[in-house]
Amino acid sequence: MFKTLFRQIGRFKVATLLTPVFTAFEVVMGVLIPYVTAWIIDRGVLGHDMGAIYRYGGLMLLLAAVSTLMGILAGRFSALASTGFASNLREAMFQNIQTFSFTNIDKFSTSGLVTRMTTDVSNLQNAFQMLLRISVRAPLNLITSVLMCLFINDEMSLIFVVALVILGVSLFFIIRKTVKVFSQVFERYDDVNRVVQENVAAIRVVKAFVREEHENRKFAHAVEKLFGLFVRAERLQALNHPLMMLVVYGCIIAISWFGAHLVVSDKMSPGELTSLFAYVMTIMMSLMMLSMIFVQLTMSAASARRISEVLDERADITDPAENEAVPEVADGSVDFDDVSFSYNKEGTEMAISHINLHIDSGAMVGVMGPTGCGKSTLATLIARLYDATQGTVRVGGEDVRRYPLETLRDAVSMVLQKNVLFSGTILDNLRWGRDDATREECMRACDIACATEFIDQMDEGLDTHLEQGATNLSGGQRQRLCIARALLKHPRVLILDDSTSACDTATDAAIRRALATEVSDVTKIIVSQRISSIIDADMIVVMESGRIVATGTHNELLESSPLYCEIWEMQTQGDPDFD
Amino acid sequence: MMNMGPGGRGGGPGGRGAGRHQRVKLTAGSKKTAWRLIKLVLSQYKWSLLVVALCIIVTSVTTLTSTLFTRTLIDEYIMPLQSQTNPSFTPLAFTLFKLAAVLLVGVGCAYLNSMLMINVSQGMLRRMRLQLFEHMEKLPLSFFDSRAHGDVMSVFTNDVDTLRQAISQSLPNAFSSLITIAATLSSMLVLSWQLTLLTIAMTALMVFITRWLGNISARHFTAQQASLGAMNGYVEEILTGLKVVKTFNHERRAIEEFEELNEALRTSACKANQVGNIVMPVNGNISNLIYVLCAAVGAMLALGGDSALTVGTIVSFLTLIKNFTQPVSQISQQVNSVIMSVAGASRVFDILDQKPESDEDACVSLVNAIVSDDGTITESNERTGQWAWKRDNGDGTFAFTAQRGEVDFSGVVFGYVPEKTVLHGIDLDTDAGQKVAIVGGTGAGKTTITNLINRFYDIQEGQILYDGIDVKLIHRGDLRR
Repeated sequence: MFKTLFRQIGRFKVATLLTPVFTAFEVVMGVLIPYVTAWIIDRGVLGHDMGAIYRYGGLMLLLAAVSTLMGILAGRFSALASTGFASNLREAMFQNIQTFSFTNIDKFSTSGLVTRMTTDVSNLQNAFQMLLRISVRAPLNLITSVLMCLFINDEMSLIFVVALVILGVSLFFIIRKTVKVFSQVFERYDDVNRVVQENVAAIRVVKAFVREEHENRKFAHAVEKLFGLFVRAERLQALNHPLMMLVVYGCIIAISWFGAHLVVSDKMSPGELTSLFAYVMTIMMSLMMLSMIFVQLTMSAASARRISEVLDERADITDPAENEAVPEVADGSVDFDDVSFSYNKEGTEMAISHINLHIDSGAMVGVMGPTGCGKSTLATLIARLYDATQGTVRVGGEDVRRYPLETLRDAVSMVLQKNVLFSGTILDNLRWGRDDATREECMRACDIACATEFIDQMDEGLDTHLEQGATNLSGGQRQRLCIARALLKHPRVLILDDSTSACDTATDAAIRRALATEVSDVTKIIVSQRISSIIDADMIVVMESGRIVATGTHNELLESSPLYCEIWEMQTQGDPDFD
Repeated sequence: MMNMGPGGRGGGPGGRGAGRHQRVKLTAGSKKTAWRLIKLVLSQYKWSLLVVALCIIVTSVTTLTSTLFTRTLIDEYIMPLQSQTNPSFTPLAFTLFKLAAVLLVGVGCAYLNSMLMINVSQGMLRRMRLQLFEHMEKLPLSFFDSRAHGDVMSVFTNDVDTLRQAISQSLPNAFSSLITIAATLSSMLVLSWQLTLLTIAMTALMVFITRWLGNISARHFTAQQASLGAMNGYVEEILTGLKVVKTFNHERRAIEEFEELNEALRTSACKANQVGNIVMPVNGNISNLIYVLCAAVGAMLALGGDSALTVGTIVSFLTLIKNFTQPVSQISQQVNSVIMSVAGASRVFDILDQKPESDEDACVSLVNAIVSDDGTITESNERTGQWAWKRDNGDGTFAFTAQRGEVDFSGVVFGYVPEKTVLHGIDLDTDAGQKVAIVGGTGAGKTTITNLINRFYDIQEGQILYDGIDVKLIHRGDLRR
C-alpha cells in the first residue's frame, strides 16, 4: 500500500529528501544553543567577563540565524513536497478513474470517490508534511539532547533514562488504547453523517410522511453513541498531559537534588545545571511529539488505504493490442451471437442470456419489454460499456473487443438513461459530441432533436449557461439536448436508452421522424417502455427476463406475441399512469 | 498538548461547497458570533468553567514556580553551600518536598481541568448537533432548495468540528496563555524591570512579524480555498457524469482540465503552507535573540554595579524568557484558527436562525372521530377509521368538521422565489373522492400545485382550502397525513 502511495512523490523527490536534511541542521543548532547559553552564564555572567558574553552571545546569534535559515528552508521544502505529493495523488487517482469501466465505476460510489480525492488526500498531505518535519525533528532532538546531557554529566543522565522509560512505557499503553477507541469514534461519525445526509437528501419524504420525530430520535441515538465514545477517547488522551508534567517535575526535583550535590562538590557548573533543565523540556517535548506522530499516522492509515484502493483498481475493459486492433468501424450493422451477461463476476445471475440478434446497418430498431427485462443491458454491450460474459457482440461485422475503445465509442453513440449535462454553455455541452463542431452543425443537430424551439426562446440561445446537472432546464429539454449531443458525433449507431421519456408524445414522434429522414444511414436503436415510441420501427425486439421473446414489426407482433399485445392494450386503453 | 481527533478527518476541506471563499478577518459580525458562542457555553457550563479557570490559574502558577525554582536553588542553596566547609543538604531536601507537593497540586489541577473541558466541549457538541438537526427537520423546503446538499452536510461535519476545536482547545489555551503571560510578566518585573522592558519590546517585534506573516498566509489561504472549491466542484461534476464521460470519449479532455485546476491548487496550497511554515522557526529564534540580548544587558548591569541584579536573578530571568515568548507566539499563531472556528460557528448559527415552518396560526388538528347518525361529531381516542378536523375556537370550545378530502384553490399566486411567480391566480374546486388529473407541458407547474396542497411551500397570494379550512390553519403534521 505504501509503495503505491510513495511512488506518487514523483518529481518532488528532491524536496522530500531535502526537508529532513535542513530539519536536521535546524535541530542541531537548536540543541547547541542551550549549550552556548551555559557558557554565557558560566564564563560571562558568573565569570564577570563582558568579553565572554559578547563572544558567546555573538556565537549564539549566529547559531540562531543559521537555525532560522534552515528552519525556513525546511518549511519551504516540506510545503513543496507535501502539496506536490497531494497534487500527484489527486492526479493519479483522477487519471486512473478515467480509465475505469462501468463495472469499476459501479464498485465505488460517486460521493466515495469525491471524498477520497478531497478529504482523504488532504489528510495524507498533512500526515506527510508532519512525517517530513517532525519525524526527523523529534527523534533527533531526543537523541542529541540525551547526548548533550551525557556530555555535560553522565551521572545525571541516568535520571533521564529512568524518566524516559517510565514515560515511554505509559505513553505506549495509553496511545494503543486511545487509537483503538478513536477508530470506533470514526465509525460513529459515519453513522451521524449518514443520518444527516439521508435527511438532507430526502427531506421531502421525511416531511410528507411526517417522520420528523422518528428521525430526531434516530439522530439523537447516533449522537449519543458518538458522545459516549468520544468522551472515553478524550479521557484516555487527557492522561498524556498530566503524565508528562509529572515526569518533568520529577526530573526537575531529581536534578535539583543531585545537581546541587554535584555543583557544591565542584563536579558541575551552575550554568551546566541550567542547561540540564532546558534539556529536560526538550526531551519530554520530543517524546510527546513522537507519540503524536504515531497517533496521527495511525489515523491517516484509513485514508491511505482508501486512496490506494482507487490507485490499485485496474480497469477491466482495455484496448486491444495495437497490432491486432481494427482501426475503423465499417458500417452500422450490429450482431449478437449467443450473448449472455451478468453484472457480477461469478456470473450467477444473468441479466441477459443467450441473445441472438442481427440488426442491419441504417435500420431503426425498437427494444421493449417490462422494467428489468435487460433492454438497457443489451444496449450498453454494443458500446462495450460492459464486456459480454459469454458470446460475442459485433459492430460493423467485427467483435467489439477488437476496436480501440475510442474508435468504437465514436462510432456507437449512446444516450444513457441517466444522462448528465455539465455546467457551461449549451454549446460547450453539445461540443462534447465533437470538439470542432461549428455553431451551424450544432444547430442542425438541435433541429433533429427538436431542441431548437426552446433554445431559440432563450435570450442567449446556444450561449445560455447551464447550471451543474442543467437544473435550469426541464427534464424533457435536457433529454433533447443529450440527443443532439450524441448526434454531433456522426455515429454509425445511435442508441437512445429511454431518452424521450420526459418529452410529450408529439415531440417524441417529431424526433423519430427527423431521425429517420435526416440521418437515415445511421443505425438507430431505441430502448423504450412506450410502444408509441417505437411503433414505426423497422424491427421491434420484445424482451422478458433477459431473453428475446419475439421480434418483428408492430403489426407482426400484434399477431404473434401475446406479451406485446398485452402491453399494447394496457398502454392504449388502460388507465393513464400516475407520474 | 496533543491535538488530534477527527479534526483531521471531518475538518478536511472536502466538504466545502465549491468556490466558497473563507475570509480570515475579524469583522463586527464575527465578533458578535464569538460573543454569542461564548455566552452560550457560559450559560450552560458556568460552574464547570469557573473551576476550569481556577485550575488553569493554579497550573500556570505551579509551572512558573518550577521555573523560578532554578534561582532559589542557585542563590539560596548552592551558592551558600559552596562556601561552607561542611555543607548540610537537609534544608534543601525539605524545600524540595514542599516543591513536590505544590507541583503535585498543579498536576492534579491540570488533570481536573482537562476532564471538565471534555465534558464541556463534548456536551456542547452534542447539544449543538441535536439542536441543529431538530431545527433542520423543521425548516421549510425552500431552505433545502436554496443551498447545495454538500453545504448543509458540511455544517454538520466541518463546522461543528471546528467548534469542537474552538471550545476544547483554542479558547482554554488562549486563557491559559494569557494567565501564563501575566504571571510570568509579573515575576519578570520583580526580578528586573530593565530586562522586562527589553523583553517586551522584542516580543512586540515578534508579534508584529507573526501578524504580518499571518496576513500574507491568509491571502494565500483564501486563494487556496478558492482553488480547492473549484477543483472539488469539477471533480464532483465529472465523477457524477463519469458514465457520460466514458461514452463520449471525453477522458483526455477531462484529465487536461483537471490538471489545470489541480496545478492551481498545488501552487496556492504550497504558497500558503510555505509562509505558514516560516512562523515557527522565526519566532523560536527571535526568542533566542531576546535571550542573548538579556544575557548581555543583564551582565552589563550586574557588572556595572546594579546591586539588585544577582547572578541567580539573571539566570532565572533567562529561563523565564521562554515561558513568556512561547505563549505570546502561541496566541498570535492561534488567531487564525480562532477566526476560522468563528466562521464555522457563524454558519451553524445561520442555520439555527433560519425561520422554521411556522405552525403558530395553526389551530386545527386531525382527530379520530365518531360520526353519529344525526351528523354530530365527537372525538374518540381510538382508531375509528373516521377522521375529523378539530378546530380550537380559542375559548376552550372545539368545533368539528368531518374530514372529506375537498381541495379548493382560490386566486393562488406562488413562486419558488418571490420575484418569479410560477402560478398566477389559480382557481380550482374539487369534490371529495374525485380523481383529478393535472395535465400540462413541461415546466407548467403541475408538480408545484401538489407541493402547495401539503404546504411544502407557502403561497404568496390567495387561499388553499382543505375541506373548507385554510391550510395555513391546519397543523402541518396532520395536513400531510
